[in-house]
Amino acid sequence: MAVIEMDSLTKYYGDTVGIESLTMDIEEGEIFGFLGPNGAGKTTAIRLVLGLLRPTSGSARVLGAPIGDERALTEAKRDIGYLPDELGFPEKVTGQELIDHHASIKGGSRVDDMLELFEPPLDRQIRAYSSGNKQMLGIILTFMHDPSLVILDEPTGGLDPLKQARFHEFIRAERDRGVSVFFSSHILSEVRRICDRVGILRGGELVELAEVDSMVRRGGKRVIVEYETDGPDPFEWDDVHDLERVGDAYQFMYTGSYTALLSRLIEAEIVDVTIEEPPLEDVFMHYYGEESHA
Amino acid sequence: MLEITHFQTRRRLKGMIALAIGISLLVLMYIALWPSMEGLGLDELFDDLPPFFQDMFGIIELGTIEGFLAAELYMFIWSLLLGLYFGYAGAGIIAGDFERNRLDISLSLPVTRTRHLLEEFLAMFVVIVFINVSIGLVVLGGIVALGEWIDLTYLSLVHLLSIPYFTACLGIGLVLSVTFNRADNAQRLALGIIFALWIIESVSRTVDQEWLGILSPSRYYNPSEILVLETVELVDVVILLLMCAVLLTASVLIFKRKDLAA
Repeated sequence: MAVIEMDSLTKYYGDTVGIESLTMDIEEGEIFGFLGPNGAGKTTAIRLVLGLLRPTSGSARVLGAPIGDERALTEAKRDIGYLPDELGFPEKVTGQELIDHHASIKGGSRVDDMLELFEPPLDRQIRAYSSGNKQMLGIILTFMHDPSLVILDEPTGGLDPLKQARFHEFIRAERDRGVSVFFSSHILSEVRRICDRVGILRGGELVELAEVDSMVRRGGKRVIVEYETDGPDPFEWDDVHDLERVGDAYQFMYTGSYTALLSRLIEAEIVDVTIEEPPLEDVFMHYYGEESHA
Repeated sequence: MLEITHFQTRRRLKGMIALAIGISLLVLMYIALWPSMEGLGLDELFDDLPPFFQDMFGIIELGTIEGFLAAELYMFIWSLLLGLYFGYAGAGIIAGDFERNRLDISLSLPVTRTRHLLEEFLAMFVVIVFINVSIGLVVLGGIVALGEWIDLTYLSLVHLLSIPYFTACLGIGLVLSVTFNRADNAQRLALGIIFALWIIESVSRTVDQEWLGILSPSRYYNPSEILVLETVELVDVVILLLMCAVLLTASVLIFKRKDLAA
């Protein structure tokens, strides 16, 4: 069963595209990474799903509730945790008071568990919190009512590396308990480490939707080849992307078969060749990079 | 229910008490002036005032404690300044939360926008009631301390009926609060509108163009008439309540349709 279903979901701010015809499902029990550069529309999509924005067209359901049906969506929110990218807390209350307030409305069966992992100074006013402490408070508020779906918008900003690692571990443990996680990020290593599937958003449109492993595979190989004299011209080959000439060497991403690649490479005397799995950054640059040509 | 109202009221407790103490001091200062004013023949002074001035500030008499309080305290500090205050405070509620990205977290809770807004409104309404009760008691205490007396029914009515009046001012602020994305803009406009409505209403009486003030809440709340003439126009109360209902409904409808994106 899908916990979030988006169907041609579209949002324009005046003439500006927020997201354009987004169709995808987040499945129950998966960690879905929602990737894209800033301004790609990730937060817009999240706000639409939570009923904070009204779609220009299209529709979506969250835990079965249509986003246009406020009553149903409100009921669904009992079972949803949401961590926004910008944490707007009331400044003059303590962390404990805010937790108590949230508990009075949505329950707080896991507050104690959460406080063992994340420990913001609860008796201090929130205005005195560091960004890391605010983030920890946000994480506690997100999970305290034991939701079955959590929506996290850039959740690890502000956390120190140790807390980030603890958070990643926590997210995976939650997934193993059956919690579905919708996770927006622009940090690729983070996504690779914890996400099962990933959707890439660019300019408001979904440009890729795949399992993280297969995406890395399909992202191809990075090839660096240097010929003794003028070799064959990779500019004329199929399945070659992002070709660059660096000194005497060619560097490119290759998405075709090994056999075809090797048979072409050996047409001339090779000085040096490297064929390797590209860093995930390059895979994503493959999608992001086209933006500049668009 | 009412968890949000409870939370916000607790947050505002200190500010609410500070406001009550501030107004109390002002009130006691006015009341303390009364014995020295009483012997001054204020009624003759009053008769010498230009009619424009009398009408403008709704002064009916100055020679009794009721008339003095109505003119010095209720017609100006109470109905104008506190009206401005509640409009200003109302204008800050949603716009302020919007501006500081607080609505995201507030509305991630399983509460509808209507409930959120109404509970926020109720939390301000608590302040209105608290100020009325506390200042009413302070006024009474001050008068008793001077060895004077005032008709309790009409003193109570002045405060009771100022509740729908302030609520209407709060409602004006609330409509602006859900319309504008910046608290500053909403609050400045609230001050401007409430002040303009008050002035227009006051001037409309002096120039015999009373229709001009028909939309002003201050048209329907006149402390001088209540305290001095001991009259209450029921229809005024009904109109004020209707104004509150319209303003509150409008703010709910606007808020329900609002796109919450910074």
